[in-house]
Amino acid sequence: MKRIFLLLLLVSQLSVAQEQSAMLGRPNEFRIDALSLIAQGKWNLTYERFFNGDISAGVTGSYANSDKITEDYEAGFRNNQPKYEIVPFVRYNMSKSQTNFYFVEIFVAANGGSAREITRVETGANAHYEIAESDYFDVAIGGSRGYKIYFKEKYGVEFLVGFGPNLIDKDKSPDVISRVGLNFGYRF
Amino acid sequence: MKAFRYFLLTLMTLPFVACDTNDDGFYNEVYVDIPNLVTVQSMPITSGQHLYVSATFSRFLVEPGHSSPLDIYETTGGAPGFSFTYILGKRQGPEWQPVRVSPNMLDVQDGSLEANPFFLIAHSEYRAETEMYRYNIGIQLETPGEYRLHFNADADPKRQAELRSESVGNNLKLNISSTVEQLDVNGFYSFTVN
Repeated sequence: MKRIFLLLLLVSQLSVAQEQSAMLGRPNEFRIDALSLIAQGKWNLTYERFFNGDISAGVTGSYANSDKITEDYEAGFRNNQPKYEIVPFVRYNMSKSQTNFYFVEIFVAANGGSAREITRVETGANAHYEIAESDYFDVAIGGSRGYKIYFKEKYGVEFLVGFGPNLIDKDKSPDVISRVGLNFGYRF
Repeated sequence: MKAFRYFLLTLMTLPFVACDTNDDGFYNEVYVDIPNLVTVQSMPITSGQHLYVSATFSRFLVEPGHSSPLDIYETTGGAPGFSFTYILGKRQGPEWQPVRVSPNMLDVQDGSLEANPFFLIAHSEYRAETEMYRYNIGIQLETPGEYRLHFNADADPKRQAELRSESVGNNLKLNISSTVEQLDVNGFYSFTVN
C-alpha cells in the first residue's frame, strides 16, 4: 500500500514537472479582453512574459471609445472621459500548477483622457459660466487577483479583478482605475 | 479553497470600491445665489381679488462677490425660461390645505403657471426684445380666511425661492437661490383675506 502511494506521488510529481517544462517552453503570451470591449467599448491588448518560477511581468495597453461614456460626459453625468491606459504589471502564481492557477498582481496604470469643469468667463462688461475642457494625465497604483486556465497548454482564459486609486490629478481624473477583464490569450 | 475564498472576497469588494467615486454626478449644473428675483405682492386682499407673485428680471444679473454682471441667457445656452415652484395654502381648522388653482382663477400678465393639486410651477419666460425674463401672475382668492404661501419651506435657508433654467439639450442648467424679502423666518408669507 505504501509502495502504491509513493508510486502515485511520483507519477503526480512527474506530471507537474512535465507540465511546467512545457509551459516554460512557451514564455510569451498575447491576449485581448473581451469583457472590457463588450461592456465598456475599451480595447485591451496585453503582452506577458513568464519567467522561471512563479513570477511573470507584462504590459497592457488600452484605448476606450465608448458611445455610452461619451454621451454621459456630454450630458454632464460624469466629469471625465478616459481614453487610454498603459498598465505595466508583475504577477505571482499562487498555485502549484502552471496550467490552472490563481494569481495576484501589482500594477501601475498611466492613464489619460479628457476632463471638464465649469468656469466663470469674463467677456467684456459681462460674464457667463461655460464648460472648459482639458486633458488629464494620472498614475494609479493598485493590485488585482485573478484565475487563469490553459487549454492545450497554449490557449489561455483569464478572469481578473483589481483596482487602484489615481494619485496625481484627482480633480480631473477618475478616482479609481479598475482592472476587470475576461481575457483570451495565446501562449507561445 | 483558501485562494478561492480570497478571490470571492475581492470580487465582492469591488462594487463597493467602484461606488466610492466622484466621477459620476451632475456636471452640467451651476449654482448661484442672487437675491430678490421673486416678489410677492404684499397688500391687503379682499375676497375675489388676486394675489400676485412676480419674477421679472434681466438676463444680466449682479452676482454677489463678482464685479461683472452674470449673463444668465448665455450661460444657459439661451434658456427660454426659468421655473420655480410655490405652494399656496389655506387654513382649514387646525390644518393647512393646498388651494386648488384652476385656470379661471388666474390673471396672467406675464409668463405661465402650471397648477398641480399640491403645488404650482411658475415659468418666467424670456423676451428677446427687452432681454428680460418675465413672470407676473395673480391667483384669485375667492373665499375669506387665513392663507399662506411658501416657496421652499422645507429647505434651509427657508426664505428662498429656487429658480432653475429650462435649458435645452446639454447646455448648462443654472440654479438660482433667491431670497424673497416678503417671507418670514420660517419661509412663509402669511396673510388674511377678508
